[in-house]
Amino acid sequence: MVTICLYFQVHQPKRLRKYTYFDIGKNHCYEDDTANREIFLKVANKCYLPTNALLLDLIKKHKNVFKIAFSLTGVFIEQCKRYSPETLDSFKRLAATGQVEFLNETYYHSLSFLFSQEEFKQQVAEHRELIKKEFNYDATTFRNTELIYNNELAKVVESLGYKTILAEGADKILGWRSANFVYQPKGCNQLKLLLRNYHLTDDIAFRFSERTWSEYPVYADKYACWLHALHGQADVINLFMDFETFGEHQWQESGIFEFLKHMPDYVLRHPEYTFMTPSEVTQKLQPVASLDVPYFMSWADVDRDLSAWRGNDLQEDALRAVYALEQDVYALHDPGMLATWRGFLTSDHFYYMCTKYAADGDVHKYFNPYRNPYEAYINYQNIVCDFTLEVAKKKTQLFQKMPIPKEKYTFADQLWNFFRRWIGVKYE
Amino acid sequence: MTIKVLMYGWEFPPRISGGLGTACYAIVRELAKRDIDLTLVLPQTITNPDIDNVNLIGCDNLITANDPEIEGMVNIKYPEIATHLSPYVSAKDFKRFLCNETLQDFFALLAKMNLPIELKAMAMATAEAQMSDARITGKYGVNLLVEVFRYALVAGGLAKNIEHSIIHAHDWLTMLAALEARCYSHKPVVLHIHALETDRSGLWIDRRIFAIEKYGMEQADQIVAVSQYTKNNIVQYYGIAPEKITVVHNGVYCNSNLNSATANNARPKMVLFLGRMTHQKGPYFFIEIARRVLEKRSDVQFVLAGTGDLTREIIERAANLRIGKNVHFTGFLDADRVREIYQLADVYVMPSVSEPFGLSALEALSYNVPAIITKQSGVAEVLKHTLVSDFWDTEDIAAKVLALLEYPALRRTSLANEQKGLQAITWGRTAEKIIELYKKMI
Repeated sequence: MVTICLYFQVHQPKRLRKYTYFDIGKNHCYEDDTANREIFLKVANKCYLPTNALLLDLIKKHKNVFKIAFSLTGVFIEQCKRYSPETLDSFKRLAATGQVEFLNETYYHSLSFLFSQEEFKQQVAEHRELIKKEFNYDATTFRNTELIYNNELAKVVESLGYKTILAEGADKILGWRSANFVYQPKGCNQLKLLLRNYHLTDDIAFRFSERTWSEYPVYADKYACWLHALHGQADVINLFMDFETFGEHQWQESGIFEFLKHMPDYVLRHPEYTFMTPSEVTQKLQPVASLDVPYFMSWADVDRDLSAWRGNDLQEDALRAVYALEQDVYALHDPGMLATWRGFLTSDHFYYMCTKYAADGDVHKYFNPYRNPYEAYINYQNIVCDFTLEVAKKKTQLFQKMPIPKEKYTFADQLWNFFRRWIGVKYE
Repeated sequence: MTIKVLMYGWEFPPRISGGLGTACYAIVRELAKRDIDLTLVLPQTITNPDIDNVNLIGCDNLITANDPEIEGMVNIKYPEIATHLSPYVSAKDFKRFLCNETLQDFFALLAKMNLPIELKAMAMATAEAQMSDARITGKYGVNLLVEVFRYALVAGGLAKNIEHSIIHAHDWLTMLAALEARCYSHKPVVLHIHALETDRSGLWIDRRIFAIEKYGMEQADQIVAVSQYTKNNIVQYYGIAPEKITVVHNGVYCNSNLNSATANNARPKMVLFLGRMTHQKGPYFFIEIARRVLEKRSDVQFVLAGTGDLTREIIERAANLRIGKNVHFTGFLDADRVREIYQLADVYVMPSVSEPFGLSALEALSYNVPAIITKQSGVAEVLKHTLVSDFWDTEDIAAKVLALLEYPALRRTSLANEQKGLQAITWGRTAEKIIELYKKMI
């Protein structure tokens, strides 16, 4: 048996508004609501709604055979509720079929694992609750932002109780080995690892409408043939991609919807082929070997590393500035401030500051609301600066509000109170 | 007898992008008030959407609308040709498409000019290089230098029809126009030097621009330098006789509504840099100063207002030092925003490597913002109570920034004394000195 494992990443960042130095201290509204609404509705109409309708048809047509998995970020679900509730409903209809798995990740699509385990765990817990609440689904599979992965992450994820984790089938890690089998992360005994087959994924996600590609055009039958050709050398073929592939990155005119509509038919013509969700795959299949990934890898760009978000000084400086606020924000116990801060952690903000313009420059440009990485950096730092001042202000207020005990004051108490007031005045 | 002046000027409001525009405007305004019959020739600039978004309103309209003082007093003329000349374009990014003008026409124009053979040869070579370049790209591009010669010829020609007794030009871009005008009227030429190629480019000067500057200053009857510092440079680098150079400092208009920095204590302290981000203005040193100050106290914000060829490098440097949260870049600011940013500032730092004058320091003081200036600036000659450092001594400047932030007494004393001094440094005085010079020359 060969299993096809389809998983779609659904994420839409919240873009920040144009924020200049003159706004600092005056304006504490950071999101570009207009742009976010516009983009969300555009993508909903081009991608989310038509693709979900198509997937629902496929699931009904191939009862208990065609299965898929989704990972919806918290940021995405929030925007769904605000701008397009029917999109959320379409996901709920898919969930109700029972043939869809929902994964967990960091709520804010953040790089938090690289900076703070505490923050990482909180965001995962928040996301787990959200998925439970919206879809009544207890996720057992985890994927980290942009498939960022190493041994350390696997251990933490195992300790959180997950059974399956997804990662990139990067050549530099696999060497002679194949991504088409289940592995066990080094140092884990429960968790199982599924690796993306990037060749076959990119044939759809990147090359599908590329006219200069020698295989253009790809129809469902041709693609199914490629999958069938792996019979005997694969347990599972993991096709992990952005959901926006359908209708947004590959336009409707490219025939991507026709492709998706017919692909399961052609794949299932081979009696040895079937579809499964990640958790089903790992329940059924045993790991063939342990896989050692000592350093971080991701699914981004040709480099398959962290350089899309941590590749230059602009990004490092911005990341440092925002993560430095962590303890102060926790100490406020203010859910609004915490959510605002976490919004700044979304990885896309740092992606916009990327300065490497090699083969992936076009991809970076496509997603970028800023004219260049420098503007992205300036805007972000202005906002973080204003937020830092707000945090400091709230902290002082909190300090002053602390109740002063009413009992008899000793001299030392009075001294202490005086000192506290004095500090408060100084920082006001 | 009223003195009739033919002036080759520069930017006018609202299109002001630097000190030269401000200075020209103020000088024209003050001369007009003092009964000088002034004809101002301005390049008819075409706004280039790639360079800026400022729409140029017809200057005549603007003066009637904004400034009743000069209305009817100044006769403004535009030469027939439109040009892309502006004081801060550099030769390498200057490209203009020319439809009817051909190389032969240009050579014909050039032949009519009274120029030394070396400069003509240079102009021809530049134009020819441009043409061969154009042949490759299939476009007619025109080099900045070629444009300067064309402008000189056409603008200079205006002298034939305008009655005048003095010709006054500002900086190298209009020098040749003034000299050309002299060929028709045989009236004395005053060259007003606001900046030199040696200031702008340090060691990497453009020899061709240097040659034009040197020729222009040699030919001029009188030279006005904006500072002793500039006069020294003219003598030292260009070999001009010091006797024909007069130092006339720039002035400043005092602001009635002053910055009340004490009013908003809640705001973090702000240190300002305002100027083009080029080698001359020393933004790199400003970042070094920021780093040193932030090592001592973290509640200080640094703002760099302006753009230039070093912008990206400077942003990267700030990020590299991990001080980006405290260093803000505003890009180019218009006049209203400049006013606003001065009012937000607690300290103004001008780390210029070589500054002929440094109007921005005076402006900062007029907004009640104490300044730190470099010894390599002309403004240091008029500001006696302002802190001065070498541009490279970032440790010293940082210490002075901290001192101004920490010790209110220092700030108050320096400002109070300087404010008194500012009363004397007016554009009116500048204009009077210029008139004095005119009178000597007639």
